[in-house]
Amino acid sequence: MMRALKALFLGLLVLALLASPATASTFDKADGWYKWTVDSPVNMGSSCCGNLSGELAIYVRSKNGGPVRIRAYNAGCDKGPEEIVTDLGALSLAQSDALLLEIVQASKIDMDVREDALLWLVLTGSDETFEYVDRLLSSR
Amino acid sequence: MKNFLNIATALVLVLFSTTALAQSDDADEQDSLKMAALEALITAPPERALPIVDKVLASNSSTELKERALFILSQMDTSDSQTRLVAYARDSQGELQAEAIRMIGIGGNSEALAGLGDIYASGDADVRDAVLEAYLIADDTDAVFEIATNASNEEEFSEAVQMLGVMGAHEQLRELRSRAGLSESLVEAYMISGDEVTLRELALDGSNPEVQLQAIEALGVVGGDDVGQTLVDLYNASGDEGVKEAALQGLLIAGEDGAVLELYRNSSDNAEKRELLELLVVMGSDDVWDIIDSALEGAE
Repeated sequence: MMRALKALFLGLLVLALLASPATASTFDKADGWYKWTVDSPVNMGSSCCGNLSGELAIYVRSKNGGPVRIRAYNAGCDKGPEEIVTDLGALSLAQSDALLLEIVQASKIDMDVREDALLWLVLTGSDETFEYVDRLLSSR
Repeated sequence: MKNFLNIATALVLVLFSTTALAQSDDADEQDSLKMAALEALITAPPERALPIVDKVLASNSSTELKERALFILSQMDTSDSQTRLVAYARDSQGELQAEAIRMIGIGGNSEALAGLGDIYASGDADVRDAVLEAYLIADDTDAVFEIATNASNEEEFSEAVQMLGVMGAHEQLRELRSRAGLSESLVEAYMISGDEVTLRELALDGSNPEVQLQAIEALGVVGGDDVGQTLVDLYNASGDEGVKEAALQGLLIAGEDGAVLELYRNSSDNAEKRELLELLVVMGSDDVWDIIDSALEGAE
């Protein structure tokens, strides 16, 4: 009887640990701004400086080990913060999507930040992004 | 042993309640993400967004999500998306149908708006209301004028001309006067639209006493710079008690106490003076005190 209860106790502890939400790992190295650029297949229009370049500069501000803010600019008229803690350089669309998706799916991050990440994910517009959005909206 | 059982039981309870809460939070989170994903699609090329939006509308998703999907659809300015939106407006039921119709109004696409004509003709009262509201949102006065012109009964006509009144469609309402003739609902629409010119004309025209009385009172509601003088002139010129009464009502509604005071001072009939004084009291006019002072001085 005692052994069975101990086993139950341990099982519950394991379950509790498994149930804890995942965290975004890329942005927990240091607080401050992270930056990368990515070529978006979507024409960003003339919303910024009239520059029609498809290159986007994405900034993520990390605080206490997690993203708290996202900004994105047309790289041609980059108005991002000057002090960059971590410059991730030029990323492929898939790499950029993976970073944004990491934020979207991290339940510990503030929902507003996750929603911003989702917006930029759709704006950069890869096939995989639309498949993800399709799956998300089809899920129960 | 007993302590250990208590701890284990408590742990089970805590875990179950935490899991239940987490599940509920997860569902909320999922809903928020779905909404955000749908909204983000507004920035996507229509050919990418349309199939996804279409799937949401065909699914068992919540009404809230579907309503948002309709909005996204309305913002895609392509022939395909507008055709889909009209189809939802025609084939859906209840709240979702009304929302699809409303979204056509918000989108303002002329072809989709034209498609609402058939939906109005075959729809029930709720659908007809939703179509009129969509035309109001799109400021499509011509479409509402068309409905008023082709109305098969007084109720339909009345609702359409009221909407034209709300839209301030002076020109269309005046055109309806020559086409359909005058009616109570049309005069009401002139009042709603604030058409002082037409109401003044009707108020001075004694050929249809019923319309004239309604127009006189409506003129009081609409107000305007000369309304007091117009109503005073009508009151003085008419020998008809009904017209006089309507003119006083108009002055009351317009708050023209100066004009009523003028009538009071010019009157030599005691009964009439009493009636006008009572009206000034009802209007809360400060002039009442001057009249009382003058009367007391006269008595002294």
